[in-house]
Formats: sequence, structure tokens, C-alpha cells
Amino acid sequence: MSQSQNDQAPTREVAHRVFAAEFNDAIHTFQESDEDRAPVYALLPTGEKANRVFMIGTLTETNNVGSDQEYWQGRIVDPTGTVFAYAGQYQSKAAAFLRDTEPPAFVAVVGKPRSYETDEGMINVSLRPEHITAVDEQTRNRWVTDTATKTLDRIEAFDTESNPYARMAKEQYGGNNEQYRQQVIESLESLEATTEQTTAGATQSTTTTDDTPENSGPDFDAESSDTTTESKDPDTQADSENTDTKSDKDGLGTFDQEM
Amino acid sequence: MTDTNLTDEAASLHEQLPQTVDISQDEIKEKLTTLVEEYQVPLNEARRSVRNNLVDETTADQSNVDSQNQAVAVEEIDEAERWVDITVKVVDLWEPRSDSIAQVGLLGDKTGRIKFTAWATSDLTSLSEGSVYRLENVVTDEYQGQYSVKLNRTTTITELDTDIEVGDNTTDLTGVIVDIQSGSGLIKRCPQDDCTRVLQNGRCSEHGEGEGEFDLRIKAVFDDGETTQDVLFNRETTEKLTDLTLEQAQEMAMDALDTSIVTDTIAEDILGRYYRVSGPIMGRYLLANEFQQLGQVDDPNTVLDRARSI
Repeated sequence: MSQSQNDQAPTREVAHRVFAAEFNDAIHTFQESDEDRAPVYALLPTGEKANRVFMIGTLTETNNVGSDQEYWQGRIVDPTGTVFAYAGQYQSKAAAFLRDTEPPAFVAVVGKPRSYETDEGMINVSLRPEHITAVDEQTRNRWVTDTATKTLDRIEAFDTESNPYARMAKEQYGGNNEQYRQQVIESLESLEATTEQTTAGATQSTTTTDDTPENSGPDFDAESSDTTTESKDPDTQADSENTDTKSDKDGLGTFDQEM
Repeated sequence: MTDTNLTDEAASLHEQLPQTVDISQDEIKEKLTTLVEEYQVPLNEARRSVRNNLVDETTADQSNVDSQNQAVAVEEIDEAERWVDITVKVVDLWEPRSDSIAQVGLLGDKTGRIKFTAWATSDLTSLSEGSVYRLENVVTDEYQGQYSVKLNRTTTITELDTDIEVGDNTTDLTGVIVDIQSGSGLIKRCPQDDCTRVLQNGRCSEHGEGEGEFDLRIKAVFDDGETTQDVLFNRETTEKLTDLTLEQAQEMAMDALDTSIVTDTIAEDILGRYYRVSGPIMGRYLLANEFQQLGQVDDPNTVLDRARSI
């Protein structure tokens, strides 16, 4: 799809599809270059680096948690958990959206993972939005299937020799993906339940088409690819020594170049 | 990817292959299916890979006899300074801008179109529009991500007594609009004849200050979770996409005394949604000819089965 991208053109970071629970577990961050504005990546436990993610969920609560200036927090819930999005003066449109939107609402967020250390020494991962928009339920449901597919893709590629991020994930998190597979299953099951309830009730969308001639996923090959997911050491909590939490250097930090 | 799609692809690929390649359409389809379904290779890439493998296998023998250029499809031309052979139809001839150019225009085969230049000094027979030629020994070139071929003194031109259907480089993609680039929304273009430059602060880089004519466009970034692609919506497709006409956009901007309200309104409307879009890729952009917003996946059970079987 990106044949037109030249080698010299800075490539835009892909927005990875990731469920809330896995996103919150992605506490290890790293950079691949020493350059000043080199992108900071969160390491997803299923073996992928993510400098940008795309998530859709239900905005359930918004709070202005800033003191001098507005700093908006949004709780965004998907079938696996809750992510916290934070938007301040440098994300003014996102902040305005959180200020003006009445929860509950389905929201789509394109944003950057950011991690920080709490007073108790825990590492939390949050989402810094580049864009938030209100979307309809069909779009939200499509995201669940999309994210399920992408998560399975990562799980299936996890034991490939040539997957450096899987190797890194094994070191950092232990490499047991069973919980993420279970979350995929639960998410899809919840989707079945809700779509049965709502197919009759028309959504408010004007342009959403019901006919999706082909499935979005690239394949639905149900072959079991013999992934021996033996849990090596389930409680390999990433110890704070090798977890770099300096990612959020400043509010402007590490944009990848936007062409 | 549907089965019919793959069958069509296999058929078209089968037709394109040189006759020296001994393979049935079904075998091609099988190879494509393996790549697309099992290895999740994008169809474009799968087609290229199958073709290259087949052509490699068969030309390997010939290359012992004489080191020939690779016969390539237009779509495969993706680097400069390569010597290739192509079989193409002359789609369009343009007026050369300089005396040093004998002919300039557009060539095409089933897989796409490409610009060509023939230099006056090369002293070649002229190509005529609508005719099909086998061009041996042409050299590829690249300018700002667009490829072209140059005919030169060593090029042999053989007119073929056939017709070929020319593809339009249409690419389909499904993804989410994750960003809208600057220069989207309500813009002003230079009103000079033959100039469509977008005015920056009321100025055309070529013709200076001018009134400018309003236009509507969107430069959207599509993201399918694997790669990104810039997609350009012109006025017509922008109006369809946003349900906002150029006139309404102008009114909106006038009321707000600011054109950025148009971009903001469009952004609220399209960011974070799934679309399928199709059109030719020109340089950085896929030019959206058709699009469709996508609702929920009809049958998530196939994914569920996959999850359960891992």
C-alpha cells in the first residue's frame, strides 16, 4: 500500500491497533536511535513496537485534573479494560473535545503511548491524543474486530525467529500471550452479544454502509500454528531498573516527522 | 480477499506472462492464495512476487545464452536507471516542451501507465498513438516518486499487430483516516490559465498576488495498521465524503471569518472512521475516485474461530 513512499522520505509511524489491557501492560519503552527527536516506542507484550496507536472505546468520564491550566483526563473503556487519555495545552483540540463531550460516547483516538512513574514506583501507561472524534457504534464494532485480528497476527508472529520485538517482549514481560488471546476471544464474544441487540436499532450514522462485501481482515486462516505458549516465568514484572520511563521529556517531545 | 478476486488476478497474471512460462492458471491462483491468505501478503506484492518468481525461473535458462534485459510490466518499474524491455500501447502523446525532445507521452500495459521520453538526438522512429510496441533497451528514471522510461539510441522499437487493454493503476485500500494534512479544506487556487497552484497567503509562487478561486480538497492519511498511505480527495469526492458543498464551505468560512473552521468540521466528520477507497497512485498520493465508509464486520465469528484455534 505504500509503494509511493521513497526510502528518503521519513515514514509515518503506523497507528497500531491494541486493546486497552495490552496497551496498559506496555510499560517498557525504548528508542532505536540516539538522535534528538528519535521516536520513543512502547513495547507491546505481543511483540510490536508502537509509537502511535489507534483505539476506539467508550468515553465514560472526563475530568479537568490540571491546576493552573486545563489538563483533561478521559477514561476510555473497551471490552478489555480502561485507558486514560490526557490532553493539555499542546493538544488543545483534544482537550476541547474532552471538555465539550458529554459521556458516555463512543470515541476514536489516534495518539501516542506515554508512560510515567507513579509515586509508588509503578509505571503507568497513558494515551496522549493527536485526534479524538466521536464515532458511531458500527465503527466501534469494526475496530474491535480489526484490533482482534491485528492482535492475533502479532500473537501468531510471536515465535518467529526474525521478530526482534517478540524477543524483546519475552525478555521484558515473560512472553506469555495467553491472556491477550483470551481477551481477543472475550472482546469478540461481547461484540456478538451487543450486535444481536442492536442490529434492529438503527445507529445515527448517515453514511455507514451495512454491506461490507468482504471482511476487513487479510485472512481468516484458522490453522493452529502450533504456538507453544509455555509460560516461562509468568511473574516477570519488568523491574524498574531496565524500564526507561523518561519518554515524556516534555509536552512537545518526540513527534515523528509529519512529512 | 475474495476467492473470485484471486481467480481474476490469476487469470490476468496468466495472460501477462511470457509464453515461455509453462504454468496453469490454477497453479498461479494457488500460489497467490498461499501468499495472500496464508502469509497475508498484500495482493500487489503477491502478484509481483509470483510473477517475478515465474519469470526468473524461465529466464534463468535464457540468460546463459545472452544476458538480456528483464522484460517487465509497467507496474514493476520501481527504481531508476534500470535497463528493461516493455510491451506497451501508446496511450497519449503530448506536445514536447523542448526541441531536444522528439516525443513525450504516456505508455501503458495491463498493469498501469508510465510516462516516456524519446530524445531528438536518439533518432528513433516515431511512435503513434494507439499502437502497440515492444520496446527493448529502455532505461527507467524517477522524479519525485514518479517513474518514467527514456527511449535512447540503443532502443529497438518493434510495432506489434495486437491491442492491449491498458490498466489505470487503480489501487484499493481499506483503512482508517488517522490524520488530515495541512492544505486540506477550503483552499484558493491561482486563477491564471494553466496554473492550478494553491495560493499561500494569497500569493501564487509563479504569478504573484491574485484573487484566487476557491476549491475544496482533503489530503488524508489512511492507516490500515500495517502501513500508511496519503489519499487525495478532490472537490467532487470531498463533497461526497463530507456532505459539504464548496458553496456551504465558503459560507461557513465567511461566517467564521476563518477557513480553518471548514477543515475542523471535516476532521470531526472523517477522522477515526474506516473507509475503503480506490484510485490510481500518483507520486505520494492515492487519488480517490471512489470510496465507501465501512460499518461493522458482518461476521466476526471467523476471527473468533481463529482466536480459539491458536
